[in-house]
Amino acid sequence: MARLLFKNVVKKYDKTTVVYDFNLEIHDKEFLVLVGPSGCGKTTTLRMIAGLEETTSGEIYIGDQLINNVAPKDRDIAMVFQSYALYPHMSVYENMAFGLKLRKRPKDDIDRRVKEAATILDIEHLLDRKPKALSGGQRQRVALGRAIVREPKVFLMDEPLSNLDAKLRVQMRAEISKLRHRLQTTVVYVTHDQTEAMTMGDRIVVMKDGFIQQVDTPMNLYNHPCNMFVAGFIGSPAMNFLRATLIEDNGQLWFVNKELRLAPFAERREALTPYLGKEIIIGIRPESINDDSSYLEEHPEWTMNVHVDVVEPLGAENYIHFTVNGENFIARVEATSQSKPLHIHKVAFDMSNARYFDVETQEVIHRPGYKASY
Amino acid sequence: MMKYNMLQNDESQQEKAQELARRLSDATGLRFWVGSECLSAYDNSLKCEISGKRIPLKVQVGDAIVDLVYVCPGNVDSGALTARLLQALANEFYDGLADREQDVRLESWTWEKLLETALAEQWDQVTFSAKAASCQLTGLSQGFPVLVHCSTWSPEVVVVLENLFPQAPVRWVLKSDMFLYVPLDRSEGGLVEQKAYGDALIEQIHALLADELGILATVFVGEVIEEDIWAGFLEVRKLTELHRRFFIETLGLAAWNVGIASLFLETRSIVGQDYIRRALGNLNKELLETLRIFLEKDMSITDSARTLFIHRNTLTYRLDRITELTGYNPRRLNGAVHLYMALWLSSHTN
Repeated sequence: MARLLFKNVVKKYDKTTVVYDFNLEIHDKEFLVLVGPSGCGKTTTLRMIAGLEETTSGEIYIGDQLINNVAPKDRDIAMVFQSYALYPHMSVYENMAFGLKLRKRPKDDIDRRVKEAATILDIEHLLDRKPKALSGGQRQRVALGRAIVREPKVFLMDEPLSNLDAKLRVQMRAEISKLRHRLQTTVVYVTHDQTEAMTMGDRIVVMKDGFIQQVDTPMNLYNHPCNMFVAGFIGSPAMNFLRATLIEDNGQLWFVNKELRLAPFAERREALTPYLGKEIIIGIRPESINDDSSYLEEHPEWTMNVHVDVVEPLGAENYIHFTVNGENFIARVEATSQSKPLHIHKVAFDMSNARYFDVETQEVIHRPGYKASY
Repeated sequence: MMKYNMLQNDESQQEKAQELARRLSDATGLRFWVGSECLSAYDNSLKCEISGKRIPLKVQVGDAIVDLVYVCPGNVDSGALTARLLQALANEFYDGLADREQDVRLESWTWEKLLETALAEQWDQVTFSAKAASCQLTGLSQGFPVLVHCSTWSPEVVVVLENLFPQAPVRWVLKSDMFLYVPLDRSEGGLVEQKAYGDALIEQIHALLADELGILATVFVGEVIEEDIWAGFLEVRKLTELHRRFFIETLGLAAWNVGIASLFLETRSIVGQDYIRRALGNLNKELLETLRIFLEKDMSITDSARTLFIHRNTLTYRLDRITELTGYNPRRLNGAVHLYMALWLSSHTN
């Protein structure tokens, strides 16, 4: 079994703490993604698993074995990096076999492993080629193959797709996802790209400034972010935020901000009442902003006039960039939208999907329908 | 007497040969001369008062065989046993010399040996260049000087890096570091492409050593050079110092990414701390974060406000406060530079 367990792990460089009190259990065969902006501590955490960095305090287990003092080469892990280097004068076969030769594996064992990995990666026909005769995607597969032949308990992947062009990245994402199902091995995957995180992970750990912000399934992170950072980081285009004061007028709650007047979804009343008279941050995803005429008719309490700055046609949909009270918003609407740049346009916020955040703590006020994972 | 042929193109060859002869004499109690002192250059006959039977010997020196001649003086009996004993003595003495790292060059000069001597004797660039020329060590094409520092050392590091850079003409091991000269591929293009290649070297070497050997390597890459390998080595060595002080969390450092760190290298930390305190000391956590984001977003009010989840007016207010408390206006270049440098120093030191 290859579960990983972090107990109160801290990492400091001299006096600077880069990972704070990291507690996490990664399940056997789970594909877990560490995501966050540059400098958040995700790569440092990965390197602590690998043994390339010592923990300042805390414990890390692979299975039931405490690995803090186990040498990196004895941890039964394999790493895949964004910058992979293939030995230029060796064939693909020799590249994949080299690490096993260094580990003094028997020749027939090396041969079996290399051929099996080549079959999994669909590169059997490339085994005699040199790296310079390979495409970018083929080289990436050889780099993966070098890790697969080690038959590790855990794969550690540090932004392996970052150096690829957009098209190849999409292709390799699918390849890696297929691969993990075939290999049935625990994978810890680091990326700064939330799209990669959302499409690949069983669970995602969102990190910021050395702290875990939230650990959850992709859909829970998307629909039930625990704070503004997670809400703004997950999802593309990012969630829109708007500050408004909650008031009551004739028994009806309203969010007001200058000319803006929006009614919260009726079912949120109980959660919002403690904030009466206070400022709240409203988060609304681009796809929850509509300009469909029938929707506008149904929800006048959520409808407003906005000034359109830019319209981006993407083919299947349009992105509308508009301004409300000096704040910039993005809406994702149908390709048939009639919005025009530099014109006033009517949109409605679907307040049933809005999320509310405390101004002081930036934490979510209410998570309707949330069910914790694992 | 042994005539000792030395193979390198060293001006002090005669001195070195005399030193060897003296040491052999001290070690064995027998008398040795350098061949040129006692053999005629014309017909290789003995000159001076020495007479006796010659016994030819051959000593493996590096990749070469050196011919020695021992002349039995006077009426000392010499035969096959004497020859075998003398041969074993010469071989063992050479081996013993090598083990004791005597300063006797018994092989051709290599770049690695030249660098090692330069480091030990603290040569300057002029001395190094002159020595390299006299040793006929030339012909290095453009390339990157690269220093790989390993957290733990294994001889397999050499194996891995030799296979990664089979064309590297220089591979020098210093304790737990390895210095390489990585030739530039002509297809690397202009300066931007070269620097991208140099940056990639750091990641690739780090990744390979981490994955293949489980060794944490920090990689330092100097500016592209041609022939100036000693200057290249000194540059990457300086990068290790900068890395230790300002970039400790990174995988390595390339010379072109040092930025303003080089300005602070000679600054005592207390001076740096004083600079930070005077520039930023009056700012609370919220204003520091506001300033950091504002400069990170290239002084864009719109992008900064969005990142901070605050209104533009709120941001403007905070920037006014920063101006008031620091004396520097972050919206003007002059002020932004001062504040940026203080923030940079603060985040790259403790």
